Amino acid sequence: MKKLQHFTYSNCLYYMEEIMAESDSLISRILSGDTRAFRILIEENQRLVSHIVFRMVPNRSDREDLCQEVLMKVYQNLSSFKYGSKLSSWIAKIAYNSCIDFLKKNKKHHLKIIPFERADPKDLIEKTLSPDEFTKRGEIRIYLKREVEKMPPNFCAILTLFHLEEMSYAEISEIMQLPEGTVKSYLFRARKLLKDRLTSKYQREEI
Amino acid sequence: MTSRHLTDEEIQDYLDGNLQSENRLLEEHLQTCQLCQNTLEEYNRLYEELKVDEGFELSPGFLESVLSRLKKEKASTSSLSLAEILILGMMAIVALFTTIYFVNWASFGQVISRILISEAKTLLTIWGNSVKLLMELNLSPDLLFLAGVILLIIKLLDYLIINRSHQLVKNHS
Repeated sequence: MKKLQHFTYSNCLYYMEEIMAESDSLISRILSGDTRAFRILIEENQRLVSHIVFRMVPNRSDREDLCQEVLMKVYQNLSSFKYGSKLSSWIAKIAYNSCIDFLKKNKKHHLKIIPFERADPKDLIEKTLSPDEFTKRGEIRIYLKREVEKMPPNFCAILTLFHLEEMSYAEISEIMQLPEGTVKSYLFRARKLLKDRLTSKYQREEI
Repeated sequence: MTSRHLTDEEIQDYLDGNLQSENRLLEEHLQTCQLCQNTLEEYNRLYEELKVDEGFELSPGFLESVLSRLKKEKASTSSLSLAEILILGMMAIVALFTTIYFVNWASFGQVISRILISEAKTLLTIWGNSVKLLMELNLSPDLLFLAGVILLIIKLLDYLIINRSHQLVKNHS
């Protein structure tokens, strides 16, 4: 059993090193002026950027502009990327900081207590749901999505990085510049809040 | 088996796979207690929803618009407008005339020739000569002050131009 654990751990390290070496070579190509390499970087990371931006910025019309802004910052700051570190964490950090700056600048227009633009139900309802499941599950999905959007931006960011990006506490703590304990506590509080709201609105059988 | 119910934190830890092995008793309780199982199920449902990767779609032309924005930025930082070139030209002329007016050309020529003769010397010697050049030019405090002002103006202009370029990029997008 011990041997197996050791093997898995080394494998993990090996793959991590391989991923980092790949991103290092991608960055070197971009820095030498290869636009195709930057296209690859965008294709690989645009989902990560949109996850963070869409969750943290309530106004739909600002989101895509901000995603563009983030990727431009990534390009402009590539020379400061430390080779050997994880590219996705570095990009996530730029995206998170850009959202925080944006929300500070636009405080008056984007106060979270003001009901903002509601999500389009079409965006949220999984196509794989059967017609019977559609009504209740779709409704719960929309309800939860709205409840997440009402949360403070740092709660939204942690939920996204942990559940959608499957990042560790250590990575999230590095991205958000918060102690690991704080990350964990925010995550627990956010999930408890959401669970309580869910159970206060729906019967257990419906969930 | 423990008789107490699991806290919300423990249930979340369990679902995250972080429940410590010493908490085996809690796990055993979870298997048999309906109340804790219900809470676990509610959290499970929430976790499922938090993993749903929908509603984050960027428009189909997103990638191309980032790349074209990048092209525009590269172009605008490498070219200056006519007004900016004129301002820079005027500043260069002012700097040139001021230098001509203040510099003692006779001693300047002497020092330059000395530097040319000693060009084979080491960097340290060149540095010594440069200091000598400054000493022999008889620079007045006024001249130093003026040079400082000119440098500041140039720096300010540089800053304004860079700022304007960034503005242009934003407007393009």
